[in-house]
Amino acid sequence: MTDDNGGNATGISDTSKNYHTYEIDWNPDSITWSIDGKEVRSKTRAETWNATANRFDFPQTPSRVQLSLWPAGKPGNGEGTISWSGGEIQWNSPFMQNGYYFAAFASVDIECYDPPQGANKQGDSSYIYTDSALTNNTVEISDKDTVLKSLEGTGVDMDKGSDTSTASGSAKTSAAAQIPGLSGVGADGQRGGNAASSGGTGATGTAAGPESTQTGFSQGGSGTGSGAPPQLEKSLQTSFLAVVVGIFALIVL
Amino acid sequence: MWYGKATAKMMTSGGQGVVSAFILLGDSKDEIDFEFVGADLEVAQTNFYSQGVTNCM
Repeated sequence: MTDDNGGNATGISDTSKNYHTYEIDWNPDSITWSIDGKEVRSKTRAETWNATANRFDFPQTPSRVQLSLWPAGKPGNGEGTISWSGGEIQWNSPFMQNGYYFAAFASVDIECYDPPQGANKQGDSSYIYTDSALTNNTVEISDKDTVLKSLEGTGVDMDKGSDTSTASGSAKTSAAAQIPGLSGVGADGQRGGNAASSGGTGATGTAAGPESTQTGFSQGGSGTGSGAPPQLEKSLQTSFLAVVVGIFALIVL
Repeated sequence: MWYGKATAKMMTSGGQGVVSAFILLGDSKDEIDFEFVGADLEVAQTNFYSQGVTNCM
């Protein structure tokens, strides 16, 4: 079996020295990838029909926009992953500045399409699943909150680790687990402004601000695999230059 | 985001073993990718997964 879902676009002028615009256009019946305004690949849902499984092997459920930098060449990863990425990471590379590798985002724009036909719409704020199958027919658009009170929170314990948590035995979360900027939101966890947006909201970051107790740079292997550098500029607002070292983001519509 | 258009104006990292990614990723492990391997500075790799599985034809 070979991975047939890959498609390479070549001939782009040095992606590490030049900004280029990369676009994913995701429709219920097709995906189109474009670079600098030109289509480089497309895939229709019909092409992905899997007769054996009686389903389309096509992305059909709510997804987050994620920007990341990850160490495929970390020793200990699978051989295939390391060789695909060109070899183990060199920590004295001319591509490093100020002691770290980085990708830079000048802007990220998101346009949300209407929910697909027949969507189960019970609200305007978030996507939830009504079944652990996690298939497109089990998605519900709800009004449920999506903001975790700390990085220790989960979908089934969203207040964990916060000052207001009433769970027995819970202690105030360490500085490292606090979500930057969250202290300014209302008591119910809703962010000011966009309560009426029709998609998932909320942002979680792994940034550790100057007040963090962490020291040094953690090169992977730390639990979730997203070690935080000592300094990180965390802005992902459009038209803002952002230095990104391993950051996950949920983008508000 | 449940269907839509995501556009990123970005500069990738160079360096072998270092991968820059601009992707859509769902809790179901649906995924649509632009990935950049730091060893190939003129290539953008596209990919997609449904429920975590890449299609084998």
